[in-house]
Order: sequence, then structure tokens, then C-alpha cells
Amino acid sequence: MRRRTGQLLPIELSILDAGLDLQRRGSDEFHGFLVAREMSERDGARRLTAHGTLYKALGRMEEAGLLESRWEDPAIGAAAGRPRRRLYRVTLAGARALAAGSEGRISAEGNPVPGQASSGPVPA
Amino acid sequence: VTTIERLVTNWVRLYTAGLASDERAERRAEIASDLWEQGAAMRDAGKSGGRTALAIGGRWLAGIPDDLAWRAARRSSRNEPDRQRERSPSVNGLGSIRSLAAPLALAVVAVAVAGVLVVIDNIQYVQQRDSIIPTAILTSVWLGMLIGGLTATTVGFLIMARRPGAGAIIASGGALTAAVVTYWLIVPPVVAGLLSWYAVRRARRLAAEGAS
Repeated sequence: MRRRTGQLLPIELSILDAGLDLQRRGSDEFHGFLVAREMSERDGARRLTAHGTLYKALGRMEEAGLLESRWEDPAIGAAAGRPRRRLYRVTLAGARALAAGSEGRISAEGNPVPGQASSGPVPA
Repeated sequence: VTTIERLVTNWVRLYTAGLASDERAERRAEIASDLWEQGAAMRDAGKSGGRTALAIGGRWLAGIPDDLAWRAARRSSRNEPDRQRERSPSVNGLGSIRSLAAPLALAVVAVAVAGVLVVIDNIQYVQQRDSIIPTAILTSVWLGMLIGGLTATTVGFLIMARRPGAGAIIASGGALTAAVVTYWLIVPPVVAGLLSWYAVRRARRLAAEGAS
């Protein structure tokens, strides 16, 4: 999808929205599968976002400064018997971009975007 | 590890092959984590192995175009600095190491082969033996080295404006090759030496102009 400069794609808005919601609910950080499941539940979609689509978007958003990530300590994953996770967090720039993007969508469509009703603290 | 997980893992290995090691390792680890999380979540939800495989397979197939686009973007972003370096040769006039490797190897091989021919020719001359290598072959190789050397010198000067480093090495290598196979004529080696010196000097000037 071609976009205008500075405009977020729907999947990026969705990731930011879901990620912020997870952070508000106490998950300080989230991994790829978790945010994909959250997005699917919020949108009522039967399928999760495809691997390629999701991780391409996450990488692009991190490069743009909308997200930041770190790799989990391998010992934690090993202790839990699973591969280590890459943990993401929505940045302040990401939260601002979501707010700006949502305003644009509301004014364009005349209705609030689903999942935008909740408002919580902006992450540091 | 299920069959579908192995399939996805192999696909990730395939499209990340050739990338920088950290980039490759990160993408593989991230997908491995996702596969494990989805498998665990579906098991916890009481889904069958078949449903899990279908769900994972669907995510994999739907994401293939984006995997390929991501890969293409990684490649082009990695190649862009290389292309810029080639367009703007480095200040020392020798260009990037990669652009020099092939012509340098070619020049070294050419000079080495010419050197061996000269040594064999001298042994034969000193010992007054019958030819170790049939004369026809020796003459053909000798002529090939001479013509090849002169051609390389011309080509080196022709491409020097675009790639000064590679041009200098090809021109010098060619001139030295021609010099080695005509060493007893005195004049060609002197001319070749002058040509080599001029090629390097001209390449440095072109590179400096390109960098400024």
C-alpha cells in the first residue's frame, strides 16, 4: 500500500493501538504473537496477522521510532522452556502518532475508530 | 517441532540467507518464538494439531509476499552504500576492496603465468634442450599473453573514468603482462612501466575529482 509521508498504515495504527492497550493493562512490553492475538481479538478477525506482514511492520515501526524493542534474557526463555522473545514497547512518538492518526481517521470517517474509546497514560 | 513449524522455519532460513548474521539470526529467532507461542496458545485453547497447523500455515502463506518484500528491502538498503561507493570512488583512488578483487586476481594470475613461461623458456635456452612444451603451444600462449596484456591495458584506461581503482589495476596488470613476455626487447618493459605509473597517477586524479 502506498502511503503519504508521515501517514500511518492501518496495520501500524492497529499495532500501536493494541500495544498501548496491552501496556495499559499491565504488560510493560509485548511480543509479536501477543500483539497479533490482541489485534485479532479487537478486530474480531478469525486469523492472526501473517508472520511476514506483522514482523515487517514491527521492524519498520521500530526504525521509525514508533516502537522500541529488546531481546529477552535467554535464561528466562530457557527456564520457561520456550524460545526467547523479542519484546516491544510503544514509544512516546508512537503514542503521539496514534493519537494524530486516530484524529485523522475520526475526522475523515465522522466516527471514532473502534478501540480508540479508551484513553490511558502515555508511555514514557 | 511439527511439520508445519519445520516448513516455516525452513522458509525463514531460505529468505534470510545471505543477510548480515545479526539480521538473519534476529528474524529467525523472532519467527521461532512466534511459532512456539502460537502452538502453545492453541494447545492451551484445546485446539487440535490439525487446526494449529492450518492456522500457522495460513499465517505463513499470507505473509510470503511481505517476507519477500522485506528481503528485497534489506538487500537494496544494504547495496545502496556499495553503489554509492562505486559511483564516488574513495579519496585514495583505489575504490572499494570488492571492486578491486577480481581485476587484481586476474592481473596477478596473468603476471604469474607469464613469469612461469619466461622461466621455462630460459631453462630451455640455458640447457639447450628440446622444447619441454611444444613450440606451437608456447607461441600461442605467448601471443595470447601479449595481445591479452595490450587489450587489458586499453580496457583499463577506457573504464578508468567510471572505476578508477579497477581501471588502474587492469591497465597496469595488462602492461606488466605484456612487459614480462617481451622482456628481452628492453623497450616494451620500459614503456609498460611508464604506462603503469601513468595509470595509477591518472586513477588517483580521477578519484580525487570524483570525491570532491
